[in-house]
Amino acid sequence: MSNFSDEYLLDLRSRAATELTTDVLCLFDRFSIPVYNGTAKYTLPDGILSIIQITYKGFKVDPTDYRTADEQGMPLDPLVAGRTGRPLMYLQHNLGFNQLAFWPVPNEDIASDDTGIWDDIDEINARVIISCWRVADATHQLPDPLDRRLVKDYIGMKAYAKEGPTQQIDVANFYRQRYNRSKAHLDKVIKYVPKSITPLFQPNFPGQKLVARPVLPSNFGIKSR
Amino acid sequence: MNTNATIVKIKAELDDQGIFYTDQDVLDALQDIYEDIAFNTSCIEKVVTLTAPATPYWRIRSVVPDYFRCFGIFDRNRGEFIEGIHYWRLKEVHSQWESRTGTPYCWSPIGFDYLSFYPHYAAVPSDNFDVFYAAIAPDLTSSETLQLPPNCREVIVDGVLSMLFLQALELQKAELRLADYEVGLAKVQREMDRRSNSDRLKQMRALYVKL
Repeated sequence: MSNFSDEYLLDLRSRAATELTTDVLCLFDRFSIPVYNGTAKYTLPDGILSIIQITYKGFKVDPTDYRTADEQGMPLDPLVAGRTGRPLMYLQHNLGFNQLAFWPVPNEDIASDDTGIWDDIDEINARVIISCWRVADATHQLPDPLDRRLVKDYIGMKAYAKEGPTQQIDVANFYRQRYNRSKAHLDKVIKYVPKSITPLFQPNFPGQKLVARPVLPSNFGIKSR
Repeated sequence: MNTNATIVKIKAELDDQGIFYTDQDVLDALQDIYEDIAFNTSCIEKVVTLTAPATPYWRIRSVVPDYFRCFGIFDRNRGEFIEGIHYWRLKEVHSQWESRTGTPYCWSPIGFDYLSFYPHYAAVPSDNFDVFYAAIAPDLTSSETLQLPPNCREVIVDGVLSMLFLQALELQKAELRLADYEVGLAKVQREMDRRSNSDRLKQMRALYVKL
């Protein structure tokens, strides 16, 4: 009798997607949030693992923490600082799970609308948009190659390790080995930056120049009295 | 080496007349291992010509279904490759990089589905982009040529045999073949890494000598 019901396998599939996207930040997402005049603190939706970028009407908002804020002379508690305007910084520390606070406090109401935030500049310049790595769920699925490779291996690894007549530890180990190898490779692929093609063609791109050579000062070797 | 030739080779190793291991079993295992190799080594390299996007984010997977990862983008409009940089650096390049329009200076891969451009074309330009990318393994047909470095083709045989022995619960044999497969896979990875930049660059440039 098979130990693997469809329900069990589907559950494993969803666990695989969650574990994989948590271990390797690979699922990119963008969404807009509503912002209200005079309100600094906002609750983010579930499933966000790491914020990559926040733009407020097209302008980037930088992350900060209380220590940096203190060093930069910002009011330590942005929530009561009373300073309003276009937010320049956001804080996530010590605010609670899934919470975020803007500093200065927004001084206008901005509605959320995800319709054109990927491709419409007018929309990008009109919304508060968060770009992030997130966990897979029913609406945010893993891309096909990952589903076919890693999820399959994860299911094999867990299903054959399950207690019961179908338990096969060696088979589970085989899939574990493949899963761990592919996961490590996935991490490399995600962090891969294609960098050695263009500099030969265009060496003067800002920030991509060759390593600077030290140059002696013009008065080097001249005796001074 | 195509699918059929590989299957013949595998069957010879199995010394089975299609009784214990059916043709479908062998083909399924071959498909699985080919996908594994393509995923872990990026050995299937392709180039595709696409209409250049006029948006900061480009969901490339929706236009290239077998896309896995991108190596380079050649902009035919200016006859040069676009600079690849890390997504984190886009923020540093310009505080409003998503809104800036113009001839793309750099691109960045984001996750598995998207590429982003800074700046991006305000309107779709007259000429196209050539996208150099690694593909996922296709669904195998009998005449499909397996794209593996010539000196690493045995790896797929070892991989398929390990899968088949595992299915049959011949665990010692599976383990033995698996060890060979892992060594072979590392070898393919090395081969691909070795040619990754200088050779690939030469190939890409050779395509555009006349531009």
